Amino acid sequence: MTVTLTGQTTQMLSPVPPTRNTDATVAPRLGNVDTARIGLLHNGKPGGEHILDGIAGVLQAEHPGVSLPRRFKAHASDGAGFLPELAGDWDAAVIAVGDCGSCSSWAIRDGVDLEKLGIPTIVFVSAPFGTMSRMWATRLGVPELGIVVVDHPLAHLPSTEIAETMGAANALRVRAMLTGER
Amino acid sequence: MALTADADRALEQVRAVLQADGFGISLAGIDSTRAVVVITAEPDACVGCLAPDDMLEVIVLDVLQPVAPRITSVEVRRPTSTESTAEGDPA
Repeated sequence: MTVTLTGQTTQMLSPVPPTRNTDATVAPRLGNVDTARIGLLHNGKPGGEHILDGIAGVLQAEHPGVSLPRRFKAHASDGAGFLPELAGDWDAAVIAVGDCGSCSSWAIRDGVDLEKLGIPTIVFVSAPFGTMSRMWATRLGVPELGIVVVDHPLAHLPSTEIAETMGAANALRVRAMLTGER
Repeated sequence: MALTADADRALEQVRAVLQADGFGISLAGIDSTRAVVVITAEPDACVGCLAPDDMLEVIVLDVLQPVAPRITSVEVRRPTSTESTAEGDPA
């Protein structure tokens, strides 16, 4: 905006950033997970499979009718071309794990794509990448994407510890995020 | 000068993220609407772990705009392959 005052021209700079893409919103949450098909997407990063193991163990115990199909990405730092196939098969999804700049950006991108396909999705990322992941999800149009932040680094930890402290410990939180429980 | 110092301070948020993979970031310059940032690789940087350019550009823009609202674009200069020596595996 340019304002002219007594012959002097002053350029006014807006402190408001350019408009973001806010068209997209999160997919509808599940009513419950009792008989839901909750897809577990492992991006190939070490430790991610154990996070998903821990979540699966708790959800299966709490909800014997839930199904937990798994898919794997060939490369953590690339797109998952099969995501559109999941639209009719999965009611919800959990992605693990983004523990570097590249793979966390792709994990968030996959999560956003699944949300836009109507699949409520939770993405696990490690601590250094939590804030950046939220900013990225916002820029991709899904600012409310479900993101769970776990400790970093995790790849060197014993599988049982990852499953317990990062997976099982967050399973009910994941359920709450997928169903919109408060 | 003050703007450059403010912008460099704002980059601290991004710097902390990049350091987790062994990278650094510095402000190379700001012209009327564009900022240029340079990514540097430490000897043990995970080569394949650096976030993609499109993500870095929007994240850097997001942190710079509060201190430099006139900036509307960011150019990211990545390290050359010879600057990164560690064979990190992102997958």
